[in-house]
Amino acid sequence: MSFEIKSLSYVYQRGTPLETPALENVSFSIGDGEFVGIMGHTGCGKSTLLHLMAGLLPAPAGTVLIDGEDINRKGYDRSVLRRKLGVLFQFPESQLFESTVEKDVAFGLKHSGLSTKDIEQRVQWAIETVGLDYSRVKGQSPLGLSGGEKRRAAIAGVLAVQPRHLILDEPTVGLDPMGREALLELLVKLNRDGMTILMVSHDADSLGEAARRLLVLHQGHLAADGPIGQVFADMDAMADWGLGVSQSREAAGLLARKGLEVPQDITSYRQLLPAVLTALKGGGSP
Amino acid sequence: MNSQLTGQYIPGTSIMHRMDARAKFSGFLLLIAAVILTGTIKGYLLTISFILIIAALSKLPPEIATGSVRRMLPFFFVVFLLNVLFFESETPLWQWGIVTISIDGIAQGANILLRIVLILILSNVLTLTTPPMALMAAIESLMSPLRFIGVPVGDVSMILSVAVQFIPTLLRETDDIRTAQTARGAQFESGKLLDRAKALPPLLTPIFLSAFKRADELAVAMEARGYRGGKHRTKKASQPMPVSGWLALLLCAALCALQIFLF
Ligand SMILES: Nc1ncnc2c1ncn2[C@@H]1O[C@H](COP(=O)(O)OP(=O)(O)O)[C@@H](O)[C@H]1O
Ligand SMILES: [Mg+2]
Repeated sequence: MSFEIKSLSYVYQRGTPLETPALENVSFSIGDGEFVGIMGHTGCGKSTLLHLMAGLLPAPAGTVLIDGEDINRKGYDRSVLRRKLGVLFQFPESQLFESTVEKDVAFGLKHSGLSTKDIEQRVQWAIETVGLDYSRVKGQSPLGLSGGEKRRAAIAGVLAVQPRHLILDEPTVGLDPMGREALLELLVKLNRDGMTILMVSHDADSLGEAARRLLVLHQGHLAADGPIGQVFADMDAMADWGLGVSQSREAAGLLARKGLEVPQDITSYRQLLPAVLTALKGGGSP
Repeated sequence: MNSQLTGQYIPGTSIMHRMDARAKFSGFLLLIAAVILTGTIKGYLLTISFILIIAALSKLPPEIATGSVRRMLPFFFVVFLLNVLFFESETPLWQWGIVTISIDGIAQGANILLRIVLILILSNVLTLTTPPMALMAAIESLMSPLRFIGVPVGDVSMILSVAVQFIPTLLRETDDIRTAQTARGAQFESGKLLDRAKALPPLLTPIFLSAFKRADELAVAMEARGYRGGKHRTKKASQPMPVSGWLALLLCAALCALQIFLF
């Protein structure tokens, strides 16, 4: 198991008039190589959950196991955690600070013990993996890059340590459609190569395309957890939680109402098209 | 993500929350004076009780009212140690080179430490019970006599209030960036001084960049909305200070006077 979360709760500013409960008794586990999405209305505790899972907030109640180890245990080596768990926060471009893209991407490798040559290779690999031109950008200041390129450079910095697990908070916000496509493609590829991916997003279309399992948080509670097709299938429940579903799922629903026999656990365009063709050709039963 | 950002206003209905901000701020200055004037043990007993009563009246949880005090403990320790070790005294208990330990040195160390702690608690109570904008308005109104000697009070207070409004944003941002860089392997908590110094650029560079960007955006937005400097600003009519405010000030002034004349 990559992650095992047991009865996790969190309250901000406990004991003050500003006390805000953010998470209540959340439990779930994520296996190696899964691609899991998390959806939930603003303020429902998604970012808090990610911070707790990444060991960036201490967990006063409940446990977080990563690869079977309690990350809040006394004496647990956090630098090991930093190397196997990559975290990409909202608007990660704000973390860029080095004078060149190359140095910035190499930041996470500082304490890795790798040789200069290995670091250089890793950096090149990471920069090329995110689709940037290594020879062009390596000596450039990250501040001189365009918005989309900055996001890519920030992602390269996270990938350079080659983490086994990757956590992302709203990675598609602020990207143009092409940037979004490219990012999803990259994530799917990384996942296919074995990386566990956990992605918080409001963007049901992106999750519908990339994720296989979906967790829904509602007011700090885990409201749903299952294959994304199954969770999207119940559009009323999703609406109750203040969430939309992917366009393809919506289309499948509308087509069904017009009498076309399209399965209702469709989440992506990739699934919708063949299903519609089958339904139209077969005239009913598959 | 800290669970409590330093010095941020916490809403409430205690006496300290409801007190007129001008009275609170002037009282704060008077009490700082009183703390500095305090020099004897009896004097300290009085000053400390006075400040503890104020802290209790604010109904703030003790661990929050003393938050910054606990965070600065290592600093206090160093200050105390320097005083104890290097205070030059006529009657040393123990001497070795320039190192001198004496009763005077220990008293001096304790004295300085106590003053810093008391002033920190006072400023915590002030900022935690007063909304930033009310505090700014109070400072502006207290500064307004300076107008007559040519100080651009309006501009100064605009600058201060913009700065004050930025503080929570900047704190939040600092926290976010610290978290993000920690996730990338930065070691802010590592004990060694050199490591800590090395950890600063990843934190400070993004914060400065974002602060400049914000300042730029704000300047453009203010100009676009027609801000033309302090002289043209309209101000809310100021209200007279309520009796309770004067009473509080009187008490603070009395404490000062006692420290000067009695102890
Ligand atoms: N640093 C903080 N201090 C106090 N309250 C916070 C802090 N961060 C988040 N919260 C509160 O906790 C709740 C959950 O926030 P968050 O996890 O950021 O939600 P989401 O990412 O789902 O929008 C919200 O009510 C939010 O206002
Ligand atoms: Mg969030």
